[in-house]
Amino acid sequence: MGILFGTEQWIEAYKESVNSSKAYEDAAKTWEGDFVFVCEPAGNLDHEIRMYIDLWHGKIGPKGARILNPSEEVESEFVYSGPWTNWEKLLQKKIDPIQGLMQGKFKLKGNMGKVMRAVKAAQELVNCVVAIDTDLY
Amino acid sequence: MWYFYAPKTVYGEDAIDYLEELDEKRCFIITDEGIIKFGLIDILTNKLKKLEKEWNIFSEVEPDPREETILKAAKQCQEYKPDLIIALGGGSPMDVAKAVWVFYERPDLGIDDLYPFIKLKLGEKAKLVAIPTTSGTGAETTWASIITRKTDKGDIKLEQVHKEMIPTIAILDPVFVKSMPLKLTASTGFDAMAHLSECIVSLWKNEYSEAMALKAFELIQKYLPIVYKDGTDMEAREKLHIAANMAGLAFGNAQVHLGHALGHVLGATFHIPHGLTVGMFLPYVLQYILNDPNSDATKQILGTFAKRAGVAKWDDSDMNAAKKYVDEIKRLQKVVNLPSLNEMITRTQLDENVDQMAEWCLESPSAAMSPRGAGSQEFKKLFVHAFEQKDVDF
Repeated sequence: MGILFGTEQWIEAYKESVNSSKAYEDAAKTWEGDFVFVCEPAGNLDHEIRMYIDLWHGKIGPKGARILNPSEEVESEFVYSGPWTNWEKLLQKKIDPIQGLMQGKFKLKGNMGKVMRAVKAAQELVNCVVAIDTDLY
Repeated sequence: MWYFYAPKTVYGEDAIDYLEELDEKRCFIITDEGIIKFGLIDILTNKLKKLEKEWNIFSEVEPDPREETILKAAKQCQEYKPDLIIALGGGSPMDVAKAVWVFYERPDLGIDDLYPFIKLKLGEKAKLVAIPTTSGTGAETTWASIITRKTDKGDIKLEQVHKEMIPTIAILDPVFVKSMPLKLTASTGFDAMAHLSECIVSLWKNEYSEAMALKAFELIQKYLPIVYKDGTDMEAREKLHIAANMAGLAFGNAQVHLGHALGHVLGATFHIPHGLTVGMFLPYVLQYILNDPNSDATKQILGTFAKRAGVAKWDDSDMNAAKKYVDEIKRLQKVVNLPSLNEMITRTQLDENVDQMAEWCLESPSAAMSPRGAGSQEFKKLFVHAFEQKDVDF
C-alpha cells in the first residue's frame, strides 16, 4: 500500500524524493522559482488539492513544500493547474508536463519562457513523483 | 487531443507561379546576402514585378540569426506595412521571418514571449510565405524559430516555438535549389535525415509523423547520393526538396530530441552550420537511445522503421534491424563526405567547452523529447564519443 497523493505524508515523501534525485539536481541546477500545483476536483477526487513547492538550484528551496489549506492564499511565481483526471495521466507518465499544456489539459500562470528553458527539469519533477509509491484517488 | 499542423504546400516545377493566386500586393522579403549574390532573389522579384506587386527587402540575415537582427527586421517590416511576408532562403531567413511576423502583428510581444501556450492571432495583417532555397531545414513547415542570444558565457540558441508561427504557405520550387553547392546539399540533406530519424522515436511521436518520415527517408536515401554526384539532376533535386519538406512535417509535429540539443549547442558555440552538427551527431544519438537499459521501446520502433525502410530484413531482431539503420546512416554520411566532429573543432576547443556545452544541452527543450533521458554527464560523453568517433557503449 502506498501513500495517498496530496497528503502531508505524501508531500514529505516528495520533498525527500526531489532532494535525493541526482537527475533533478542536474537538470535544475540553475532553477530558482516556486510553484503552486492545483488539482481541481474531477473523477474520483471530490476536493481541491493545492501544493506549494519552492524549488532552488535542484533542491527543495528554503520556503519548503506543503499542502495548502483550502482558505490559504500564497504568492508564487508559477501556478500549474488542471483537473484531477489530467493529473492522473501526468502522474502515470501518459502525458508530459509540456504536452499537457499544449493539449490544454493544464494551465500555467507565470513566465512561460522561463519554464520552456527548464522542460527537462519539469520532467524530472514528475519522475520524482513516480519514484514514490503513490496511491491515486 | 493532438495535432498535425502543416502550411498550404505548393511544390514542383513552377511552384513559384502560385504567387499569382495571392491577392496581397505589398511584400516584405526576408533573406540573406547569399541569396542576393547568387541571384535567387531575382527569380522572386522578377515574378513579383510581373504580377505588379511591390516589395521591400531585408537581406541582413546572418547564419545563426541573432535577436538583434530580428528586432531590426521587425522594425523595417513595421515601417513598410506589408500584407505578405516572404521568407526566401535556408533555415535562418525562415526563423527570422517567423519571429518578424509575430512582432509585426503583435508589437506588444518580445522574443521571450514566444512560448506555445498563448494566442497570437497572426494573419490579421499579413500572410507568411516560405520559399526554401535549401533542401533540409524543413523550416517552411515548422513552428520553431531558432534565435541566437549573446550571454556572458557565450552564445546560446533559443528554441522559440508557437504553432501559429507555421508559415501560411510553403512554396517548394526546385528552381531555387538547382545551383545549391554540393557541400550545402549534403549538410542540409543530413539535417532532414536527422529530423526524420529523431522524430520517429521522440516522446511526441505519432502515426502521421511516422508516415511522413518513412517516405522522406526513402527519398533521401535514394536521391541525396544522386544529387551529390550530379547536382544538375533536376528530378533528384526536386525529390530531395520534397523529402526535406516531408521530414519537416514529420519532426514539426513530433519534435526532435538529443541530436538537436547537441547540435544547437555545438552550432551556437562554434558557429558551425546546423545540418553538419545534427547530421554528424545522428548515429551517436541513435546508439545512445538504443542502449536504454530500462526500455526496449526504441529498439522496437527503430527496428520496425528500418525494416519498413528496407535497410533491414523482416526476420532481423529489433536491435539488429535498428543497428542496420544506424549503419545505413553512417554509410550515407561517408557517401556525402559529412565531416566528423574532430574535423570541425580541435581537441582543445572540445576540452575547454564541453562542460559548459553539456550544461546548455539541459536547457534545450529538445532534450526533454528524447525517449531516453540524458543528464549533463551523458551529454558530455556524447560530445566526447562523437569527437573520438567511438560507438556509444553507454
